Amino acid sequence: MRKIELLKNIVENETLKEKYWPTFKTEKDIRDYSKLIVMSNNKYLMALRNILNPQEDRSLSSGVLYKKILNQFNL
Amino acid sequence: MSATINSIKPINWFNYKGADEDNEVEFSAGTNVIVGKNNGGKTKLYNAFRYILTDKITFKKTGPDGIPFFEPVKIDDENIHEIFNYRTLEEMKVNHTRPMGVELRFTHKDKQYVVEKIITVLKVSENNCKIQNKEYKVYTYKDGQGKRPYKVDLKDILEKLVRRMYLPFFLLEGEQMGSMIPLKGAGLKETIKSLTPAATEIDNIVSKTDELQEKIDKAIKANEKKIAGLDDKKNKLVKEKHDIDSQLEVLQETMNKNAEDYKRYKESYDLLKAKASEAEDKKKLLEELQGLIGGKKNATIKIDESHQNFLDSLTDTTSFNISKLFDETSVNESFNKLDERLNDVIAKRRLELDEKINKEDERLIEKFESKQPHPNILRQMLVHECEDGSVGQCFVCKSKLSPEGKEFIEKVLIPHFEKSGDTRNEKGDVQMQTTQVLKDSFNEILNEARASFMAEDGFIKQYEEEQLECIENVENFQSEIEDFQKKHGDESDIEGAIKASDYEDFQKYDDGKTTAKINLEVAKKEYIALKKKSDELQKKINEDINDDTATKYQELKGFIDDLDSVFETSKEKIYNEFAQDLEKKSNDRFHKLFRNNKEFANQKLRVAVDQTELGKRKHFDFDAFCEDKQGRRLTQEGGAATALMPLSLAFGLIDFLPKAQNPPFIADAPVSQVTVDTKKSFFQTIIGDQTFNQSILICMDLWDSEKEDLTDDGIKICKEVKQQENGRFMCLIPKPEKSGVTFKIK
Repeated sequence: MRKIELLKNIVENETLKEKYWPTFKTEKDIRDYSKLIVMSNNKYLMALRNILNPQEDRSLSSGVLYKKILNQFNL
Repeated sequence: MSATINSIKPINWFNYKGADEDNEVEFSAGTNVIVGKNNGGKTKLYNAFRYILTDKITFKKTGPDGIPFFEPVKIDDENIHEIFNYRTLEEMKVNHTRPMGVELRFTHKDKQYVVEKIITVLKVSENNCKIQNKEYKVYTYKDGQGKRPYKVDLKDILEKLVRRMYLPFFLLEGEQMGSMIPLKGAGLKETIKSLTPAATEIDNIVSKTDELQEKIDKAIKANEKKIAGLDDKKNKLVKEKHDIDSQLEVLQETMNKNAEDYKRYKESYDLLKAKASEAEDKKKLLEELQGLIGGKKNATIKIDESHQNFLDSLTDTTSFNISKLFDETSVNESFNKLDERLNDVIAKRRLELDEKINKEDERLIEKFESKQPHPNILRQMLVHECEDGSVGQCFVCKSKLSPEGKEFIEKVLIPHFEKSGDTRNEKGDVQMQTTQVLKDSFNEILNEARASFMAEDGFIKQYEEEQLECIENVENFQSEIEDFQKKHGDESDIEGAIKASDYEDFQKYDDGKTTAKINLEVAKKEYIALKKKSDELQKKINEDINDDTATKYQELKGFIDDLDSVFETSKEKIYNEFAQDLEKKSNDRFHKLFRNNKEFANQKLRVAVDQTELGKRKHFDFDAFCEDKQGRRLTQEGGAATALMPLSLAFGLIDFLPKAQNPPFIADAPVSQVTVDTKKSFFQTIIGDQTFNQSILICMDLWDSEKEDLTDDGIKICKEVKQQENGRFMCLIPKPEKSGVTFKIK
């Protein structure tokens, strides 16, 4: 729950949005951006989603998280 | 759903005697106030709660400066003899064991649980003991059925009673209120952190991003190292490529030179070849012109030949024909020639005759002379009238004389014979005879020719046609020659052009061209092979070195940095908002607690957030303190405000929680240092406040040690508690010589 709210706050953060996901549409009414992020295929949003892992109570282990993010950045 | 403590039973716990003693204290679901005399076992009871819930107890110690302080400690061999009931220890035999600990019963969601935390104490000497074993046991409990073992982790079962995060402000030590660890410094920070899960979540996330940053930094360094390694490789590849490129440049120059040579040779060759071709054409033209000139010459010769043939035919007696005389001029010429020949013959003959003349010859000459036609006879022939009335007739053949024949006789023959007659007269008879013979012959010939002329005049025509044809041929040739010369120049022009062509050595350029082309092809092949190698090297350089890994890592690092910054800002916002909120709630509580004391109306409780930047992280610390109306921090230790400030803060913190979640509020001497008015307001707050489901308040202030009974205020508060539903007021009465305690319900 808190992660979803945190995700929303960060996704709607104007500075980050302008810099990393300018074309991603944000709306105040959207509560959970998780699915929209997957659909956006934006590597930054995907990385953010993996860091927060809002759909799960437990966070990803740092190793798994790192690998996932590297994949998203084609590294 | 909140839990309720049903009872607590200390066993051999300080002055609480063994398990068989009636130490069990039962609590109501509402307000429970326990009073008793000083050092009677109130704090020891509180420590029983603390031991169950935190595994620690607070020990009163004295510092080097002589000032007493309370310290939470774990029970161990060092302090066990201070906690274990000394009467029990006395009764024990050495090497015997007894249990010591606490048994707590509570209800959660209509289910009762019993938690036993027991230490097995071994007596090692008369006055000493040590811990043999520590254990806990959990049971479910039903009235009438008793306890049933319940296998569960101690931490989990205690979470049902009170969540660990709430402990700092639901388990209060009043005597230490001013310096309560959970409500100041790092303790307050932990408390606030436990109530700001969003910030805690951010901390967790930030710890992840820290790990990520660490890994990314390592990866960046590894990549830099790799690039550094690749740089060596790159330098080698670049050098190799540079060498090849240098060779390519040389080859390019060679190819350019070859191409220029080829171009130059080709141009010269083509030019000379064209000239040669032109010269060949000119030669053909020259031949053609020479052919025309030759043709003209032949045609001209043919005219002469034709004419000569014609003339020859005139002098050839065998083929002579009178019709040839049609051409008067030619005839004249023929006669002139004839005359010349005749004269030659005559002269020659005369010489011969002079030498070899004999009579017979002389006779023949005479005979010949006598037979020559006399000019008069010829004149008679001219005027002789024929039978048909025409004038002119040959006396020999009796044929008519044509006008041409007449003219011939008149203008040629008559003068000739008249002249001959004169000569003959001078030369003698032989000559006369010879001339006469010739004349006769001529007459014969003339007659014969006349007859032929009369029979056919086509001979002359044939001659004429032949001449005309020859002349036409010549004219045609001439015309062609003129046209040709007009078009191509005359013979000298063409010859000059051929000579000026200077094309003879064009083959030399063809050889040069071929050589240059071969050289160019060879260089090209070499160039292509080297270029391919150069391109492959470039590709390898690009693939190996110029990848965007470093850029991608930097992008990722930048993003994580920015995220971190946002996380930090969010956390700061959360803490600031929470501190402001807590300050407001705590101030409400503070002023309620002091509602009976106007002196504190102008004082204010402050919750400050101090942030320190350590590296890229912000560290937040919290401080709660009281200010006067001028905003000056109140530093007086032990004052009423500083005593109630932590309590206000604790209440402020509790106000953040929904009532349904509130655990039992357990406080030891919460208002010991405040005035009676404030104590009253405290109990009124606790009793009347719906925030607390269950409270267990252990107080030393309401007991009169001299009277061994409640004070007047104690009686009043006791009444108020008892009036409340589920309110319970108990007096704790210790037995002599620490042999046990008794709880007496008022």
